[in-house]
Amino acid sequence: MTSTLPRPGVTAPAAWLFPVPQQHQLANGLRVMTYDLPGRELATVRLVLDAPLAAEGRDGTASLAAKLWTAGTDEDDAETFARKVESVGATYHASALHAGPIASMTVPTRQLASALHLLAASVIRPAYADDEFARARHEQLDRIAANRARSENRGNMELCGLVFTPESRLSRPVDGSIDDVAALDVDAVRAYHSEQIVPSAATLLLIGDFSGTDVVAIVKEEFGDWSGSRPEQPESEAGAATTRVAVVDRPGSVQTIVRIGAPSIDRHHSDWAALQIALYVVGGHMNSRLSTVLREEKGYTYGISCRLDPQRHGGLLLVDCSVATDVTGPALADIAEILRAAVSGGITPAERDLAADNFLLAGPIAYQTSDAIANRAVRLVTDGLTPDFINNWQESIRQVTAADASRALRDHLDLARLSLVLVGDAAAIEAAVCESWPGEPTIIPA
Amino acid sequence: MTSTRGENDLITHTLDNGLRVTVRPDRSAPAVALNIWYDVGSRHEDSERTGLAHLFEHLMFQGSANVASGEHFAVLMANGADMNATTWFERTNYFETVPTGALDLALWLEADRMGTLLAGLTQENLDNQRDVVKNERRQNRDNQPYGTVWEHLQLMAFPEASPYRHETIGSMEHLNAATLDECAEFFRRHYRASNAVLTIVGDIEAKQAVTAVERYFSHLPALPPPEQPEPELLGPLSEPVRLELDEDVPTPALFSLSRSARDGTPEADAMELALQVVAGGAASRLAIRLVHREELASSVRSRHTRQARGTSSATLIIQARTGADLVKLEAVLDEELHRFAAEGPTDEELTRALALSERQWLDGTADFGGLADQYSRFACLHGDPRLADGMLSRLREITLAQVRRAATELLPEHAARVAYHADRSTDA
Repeated sequence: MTSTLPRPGVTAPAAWLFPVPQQHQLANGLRVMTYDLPGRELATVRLVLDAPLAAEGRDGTASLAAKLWTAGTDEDDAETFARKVESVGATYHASALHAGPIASMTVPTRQLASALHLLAASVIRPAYADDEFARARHEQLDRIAANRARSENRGNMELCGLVFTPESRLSRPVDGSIDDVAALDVDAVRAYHSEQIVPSAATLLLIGDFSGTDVVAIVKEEFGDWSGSRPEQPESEAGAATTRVAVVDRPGSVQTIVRIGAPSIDRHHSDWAALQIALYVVGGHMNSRLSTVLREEKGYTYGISCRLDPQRHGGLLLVDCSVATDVTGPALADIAEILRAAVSGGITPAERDLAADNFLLAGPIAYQTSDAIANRAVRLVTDGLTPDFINNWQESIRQVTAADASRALRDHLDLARLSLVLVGDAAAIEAAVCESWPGEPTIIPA
Repeated sequence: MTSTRGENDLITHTLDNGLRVTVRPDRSAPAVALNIWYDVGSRHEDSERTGLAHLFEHLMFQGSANVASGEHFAVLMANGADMNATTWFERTNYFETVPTGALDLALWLEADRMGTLLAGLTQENLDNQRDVVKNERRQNRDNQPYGTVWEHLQLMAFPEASPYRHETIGSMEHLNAATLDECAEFFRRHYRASNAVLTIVGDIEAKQAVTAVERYFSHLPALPPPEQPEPELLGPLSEPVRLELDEDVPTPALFSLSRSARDGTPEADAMELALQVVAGGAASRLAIRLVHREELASSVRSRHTRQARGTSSATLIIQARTGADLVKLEAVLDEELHRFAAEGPTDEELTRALALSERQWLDGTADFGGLADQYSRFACLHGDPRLADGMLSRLREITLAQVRRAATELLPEHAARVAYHADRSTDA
């Protein structure tokens, strides 16, 4: 065996920009954004409603309404609709985000007109049939139960309840509670639909190879007669509750789910890029400060991350991991110490460079597929950002210094304001938690 | 012996040391996917050391002669890479998609660990990654509702001597027992150029890619490929096997596993379509009957675990509604399975099934990394990466009669079933 070659260097990457769409607006207010990307067999379609859940009425209404879009229209019952969708080679599902309902479809481009016909019928003229409503409500109740049964989801849910005030819709899950959903009737869903599902609140995103396809003409044909106007939307900032510690008791759990969080900034904030870089250093990758200690040195966890989960207004700063039950206390102490050291000592220029390089070089890899572009484009719409946001953000990242990132961390990571939720065996971990984290834990039954 | 041949943009090439290389240029994005499959997985494990192949995969990130522990991740992340590794029954794969200008670096890193991993292997790294893997098992299996179902099903469906009887994650007991010497021996036996395939897909000219692979891998020794265990081909279960579980799960559920044909055969492709007919998409037979009409289930889906050197498995997964009567649900399920086996699919159902499978294939190969993984799969386990390009045409050739024959394997008399009865006794 001859000796190994010296480690090769890296040549400069090609310039990369996030694609920018063609934009149109129909007379009824529907916004249309077309990302024309050559060489793709499939078209990816998203219909995004700007209808924040604060205005949905009883919790879970928007989610239930969206689920019913795939359960029949004025033309087709649910089974016929499902067969028609699949017969054009499309997949279709709909759900709600905190920003409002969203319909997602993928279809071979040659079938785009047929698919948009089905999509338009389902969103503009859903059947909201009594039997389908009853079935969808039952499924939503089961989904809520299933989410509560998964410790990770339960932890996220309880954390939002601690971090945000009860007035903020962000404090409660999109699907609503068992009690809320059990109390919903089909008339409430119909009323919600006529008030909120209107063209002036909607954006249609189309991603694919549209050479030879008059997308706007098809959209006009299918969505042009959609009518209705939009009420004033309540603009609400995510409110911050007081800091608390809670343990959801799951006797016998072999792991403790750890969720640490506080209200934080959104993508509109001038510190966004700087804080993103800082949190990447703290917990954004395998060799982050948190992962280096808790995974690679101590083996407490399979993975740990620290990141932002932004909404249009405000958002959540989150540290999450699952640790073996018997090391819950030491793991919390390590997390607290690593966060404290990062805030007080800041991050180094080398750490800043690794984070910035990753962000600036990942673009062409992360956005290879239509789905990836669509998911990002949806977030730009729901967050109220312009389509050139990613390209401007790249420039912001380039300009962030280690000092900027360190300052952003000091300004936006207030250790005294972090709430903690654990899901695990309370009897086994309570004493260790009290020792390693400030505050008296509230024990919540599973 | 060096051979190079190419057609339709796809180039294959074998290095003197036995490393098989596939290159597929695609200039649509300024990036390349590098994907390596080693012909080793959990089926190669000693029955007293389950989990060793996957534990070893973790050690591949802990440093080699010229790479420090953790550095593999660090230098590739600094280049914006999307990267990981996975272990499954029949293979272990390592992959990264990088900007084109970082391909040489990625090749060098992969060659360094393929050739010199033992220089970085320490007791400290083993003990640390053993703890990490045990936490991976807790997180994904032991602390999840229904999390250990596959462990149960495999024990029920495969005979004692079968290398497909245990899950890749392994048992806690065996993970605890693994020694440094065993890890080193595992590397010496399985990690060699002749037991690996390497695929590059993306923004590079084919000859240039082959030259780069030669540059970084040709110095690795030419060792003969390791002896492989005999393929294991079992027929359907001769009688049903059943396990009832009362666990703290949110709703009742039924998992029904059937042994099925080896990957790479028309019978395996027919099984894929049969599963689409009964449980794929919103218009499948079981979705319409169990979810929609009878309202006994909230969802149905399937999982087809294709094995190239052993017996595959086809599993129907039915999530019951809260309070649903599992006896009634199962009666409807069995009625549908018997009807399907007796009548086979309709033309319309076969068309729908094909459309679903085509979509899944296109989604899975939509990026360079997904496509590279399929070329590696067919190169490693079926001897020819070009078979990946024929996947859809092979599916289109499957007949109604072939799907009907596959349907008979799904019948309850050949199934291993786990039924979960939601135990609400722990409710507050």
